[in-house]
Amino acid sequence: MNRIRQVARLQMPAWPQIVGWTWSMMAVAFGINLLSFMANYDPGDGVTTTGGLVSLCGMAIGMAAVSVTQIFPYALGMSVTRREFYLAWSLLAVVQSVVYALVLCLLRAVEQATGYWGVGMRFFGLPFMDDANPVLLLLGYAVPMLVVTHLGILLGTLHLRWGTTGVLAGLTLAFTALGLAAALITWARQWHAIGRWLLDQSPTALLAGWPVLVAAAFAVGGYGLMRRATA
Amino acid sequence: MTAVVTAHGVTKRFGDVTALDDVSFALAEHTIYGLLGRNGAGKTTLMQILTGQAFASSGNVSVFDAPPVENPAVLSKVCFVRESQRYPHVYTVRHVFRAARRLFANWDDTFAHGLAADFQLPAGRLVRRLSRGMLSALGVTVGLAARAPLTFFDEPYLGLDPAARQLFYDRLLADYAGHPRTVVLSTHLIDEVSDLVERVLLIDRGRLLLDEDADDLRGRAVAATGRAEAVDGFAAGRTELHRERLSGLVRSTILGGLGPHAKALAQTLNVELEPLSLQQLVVHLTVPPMTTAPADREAAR
Repeated sequence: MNRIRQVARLQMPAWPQIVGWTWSMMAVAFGINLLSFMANYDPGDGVTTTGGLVSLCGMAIGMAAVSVTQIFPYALGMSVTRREFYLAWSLLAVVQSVVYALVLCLLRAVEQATGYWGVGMRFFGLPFMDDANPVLLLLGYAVPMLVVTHLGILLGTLHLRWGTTGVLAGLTLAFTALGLAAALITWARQWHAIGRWLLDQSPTALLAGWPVLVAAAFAVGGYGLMRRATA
Repeated sequence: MTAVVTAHGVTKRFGDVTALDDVSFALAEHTIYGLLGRNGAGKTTLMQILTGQAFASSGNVSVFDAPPVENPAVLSKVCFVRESQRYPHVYTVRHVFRAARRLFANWDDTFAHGLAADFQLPAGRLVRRLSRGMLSALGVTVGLAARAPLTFFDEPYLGLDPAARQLFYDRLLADYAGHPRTVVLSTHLIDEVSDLVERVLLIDRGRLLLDEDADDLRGRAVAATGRAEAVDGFAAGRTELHRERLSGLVRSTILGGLGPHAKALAQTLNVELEPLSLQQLVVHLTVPPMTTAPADREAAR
């Protein structure tokens, strides 16, 4: 564990950039949303949810992918094993997800205290988690972050193995598979059943339960690919 | 001899290119090796396989009695300084030293800072802004201060000027005396390291041509100069590597032939012998077969 922590610290010099860029982008997205809400605000409108958190997910994916492609070749040169590197980056993903989730909980509290920034804009709040207890709320933020960060690591590893072609081919395959699955579901007229299954799930299962499995799948895939990666 | 590394039939293919072809050897502990060969001979690939960074297509490698791939116990005793090492974009020289201190068990911070001062490395500068020479100096500093029991230098000193290279050789020898270890230097600058290396591994086009003591190699070949018939007489029964004509005389490079008997024969035939330097020997062993015969080349001049 100590060795994994030492390897994880290889990312430390990049933290100002990772945290700085991620939250600067968030601030920009927040500012633009706020401006447009202020321009169109009508007290009778109630509260509208934005998709603002998507930008955070996008940044988390990009930052994780870049940090893998930047630091893995260096780590390998410093006699670090691929396994140590993967575990270290997975540990970083957990820490980063929990820290970001705490910040988001805080921002959500501010959001609610200010009456949705005074303009009915729900930017940080999560859908269907209004009456969740603090622990579930934290998990509701942290687990999806964990998923996207591991997706970023997976994309970075694809880049290590097969370059840009690998990333593009991987994404194409994923979209093809998802598209085919959607077509198949339509063909079999199963959307209704899937919708009902989703409604039967608790918010916790949807935001924290099932995504853990997705994160685990990305982690297994990423580790499997990294084991044969070369600098 | 305690073997630190053993390689058996190591072969590496990239598509239809064979980068390493059935390479077998052993490295003893507390020895400085010269890994010599031309560009593309397979030196870097071999070192990558020995350090678990690349995978052999076939064959076995054992480092400290275990396979090196994904083996933290082995890799903790190994340092591989690559000429083409990539560093993260945001890293400064200071970051590199801090990381090395955390990752290499025997790291000596005082030694590292002494070397950095000798090479005039600016601690606060981004690695990607270092000049070629400074980048080499950084690699050399990490490799020396890591004091890994098995250290590979893959031409990291290529960017160093002659004074800085001499500094590297001096520091290496001095530190090696106090902290013996196994060092592998891959280089083209054979004459420069010929006094430093104790044993030579020569690779050419993926094959191991030589694995011998440097001292033996130095007496291995001679250049015999004399009239053609005299040189023919001397070369008879010996392996001739190369022959050139110089204004009526013939100069032939011959393997073996520095024994007392050979010397007497040379004297009788009036053939002048001079020992070949390690670099000349390597050049003669690794140049591709000539496309034109020496006589034709002379005629063309």
